[in-house]
Order: sequence, then structure tokens, then C-alpha cells
Amino acid sequence: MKTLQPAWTLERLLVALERELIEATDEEILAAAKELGMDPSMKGSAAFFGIKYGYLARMMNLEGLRPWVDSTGTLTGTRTRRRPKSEPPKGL
Amino acid sequence: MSLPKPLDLRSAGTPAEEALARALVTHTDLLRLKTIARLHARGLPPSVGWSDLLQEAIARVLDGSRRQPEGVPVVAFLAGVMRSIRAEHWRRARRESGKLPEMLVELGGAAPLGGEPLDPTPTPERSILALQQLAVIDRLFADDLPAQQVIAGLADERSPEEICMLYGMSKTEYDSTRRRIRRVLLREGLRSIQP
Repeated sequence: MKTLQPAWTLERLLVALERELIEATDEEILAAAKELGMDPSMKGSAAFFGIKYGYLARMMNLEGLRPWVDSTGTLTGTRTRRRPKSEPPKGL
Repeated sequence: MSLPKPLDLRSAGTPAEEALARALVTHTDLLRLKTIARLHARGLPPSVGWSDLLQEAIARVLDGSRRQPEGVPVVAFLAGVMRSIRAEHWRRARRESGKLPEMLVELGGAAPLGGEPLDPTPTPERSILALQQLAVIDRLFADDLPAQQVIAGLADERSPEEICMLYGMSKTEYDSTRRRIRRVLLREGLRSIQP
């Protein structure tokens, strides 16, 4: 491999490996899940942890983290100011 | 092209579930995307998890801020959005570090394999995280020399023919090595315990 900054080498490597995963067949994916003792066809399968559940409801944006939803439950994209450590949490 | 429906998360559990409900992706696509998200979360600080990367990418497509070009498969498109979010993170980190002259930003860097432009000046944090993750990936294939060779070739943007010629591999050996690489990556990406 060509000598590059580690970050660049990693980027190139990740893109190359990403292509391999995009090309992975459904059968390969299901076989890998089976090897791990997972059955994606079952409700609540561990394979979907972090996808369908087990995910902390938050999203990133360029300014940090934003809440997923507003008070009505609709996606907002509102940017929030991060609370400085010196400032007590609301409600205290 | 019609505008996307507003994303109402009261009815949808997560953006991924909403994408599933809208038939944007299949269950297997989500598993494929999970493995890709885990890959792209490598080298990011622990505060940014693979799940954040995946759900944010899907949410950006659902809320219309990213449009899938015609002819681009959804998994490849979402993988690109994840890459873009990752690049945004590092651009922000670099801006915050305040060490990069604007001139370098304008000069830009070569894009790796059609991806985001290379960050011309990775921060020390990024370089350290990258070294750690390169070591982790190396360990995944430590006992498989052909896999290391194929990965090095792919990362250098070599064609399959070039890789076979360079390492004296037959096409069959090359194909079976790629299958082994995918198997390792899929297992790593689907397993329950965080890397």
C-alpha cells in the first residue's frame, strides 16, 4: 500500500471495504447472521439492534447533536446549544 | 419527483424503521447498512456511534435533505451519505482545531475512490484514531495473507487483474479471497458487542 497519512490510508481502506459490503449478497449476509446465532427473520432479532431498537433517539448535525423530534413528535432538525459544564441542568 | 412525506417519528420507531415502512430498504439492506455503518464509524470518536451514522443518513434521505440520484442503488447511496457525514464530522473537528489555513481547504485533496475529498490536514486526534483502527483491521485479517494482499490492492485502487498479477493469484483464488473478506466484515459488522 502506498505511504499516506494514516487517516487517508484508513479512508481509502474503508471505501474499498465498503464496496465489498455493498456487493455482499443477501445469502452472505444471512449466513453471517446465522453463524453469529442470529435469526433476522425473528421478531426482536439481535441483528437489528441499533437499527430498529436499542438506538438512543438523537441525531448529529454539524453543530453537535440535535434532538430527533420536537414536542409534537415531528423531526425538527433544530440545533440546540450544548449546556456548559458550569451550567446546572434544567429543572434543578 | 415528488417531495418526500414529512417524517413523523411518533409512528416510526427509528428512521431505519420508517425507511423500511416506506419500502425504501429491505430488512437485508438494513443489515448490509449496519455493517457499512460500523465500518465507517471506525476512526470516529466514541461519542459518534455507528447507529448515529446510520440513522442520521437515513433521516437525511427521509426528510429530503439528501436526494437519491436516479440509477444509484439505495444502499450505495446511503453508504455515500454516511461517508459524507463522517467527512462533515472531521471538517468540523478541523475547523474547531483552528489549525488549518484557508488556503489548504481551497487546495483540497484527491478524492479516494470517488468518495469525499481527502482532508488535507488530519487532526492529531484523527491520525491517532486512524492508526488504532488500521491496527484493528489488520488484526481481522492477520492470518490471511491473500486477504491482506487483496485489501491492499483494492485500497490502492488496483483492478482485479492487476491484483492477481501482482500477487500471483488465480481469478478463482481472488474471488474466494474476496468472499472470505466479506464474511469477516459481515460477521464483524453484525455481531452484538461493540468493537
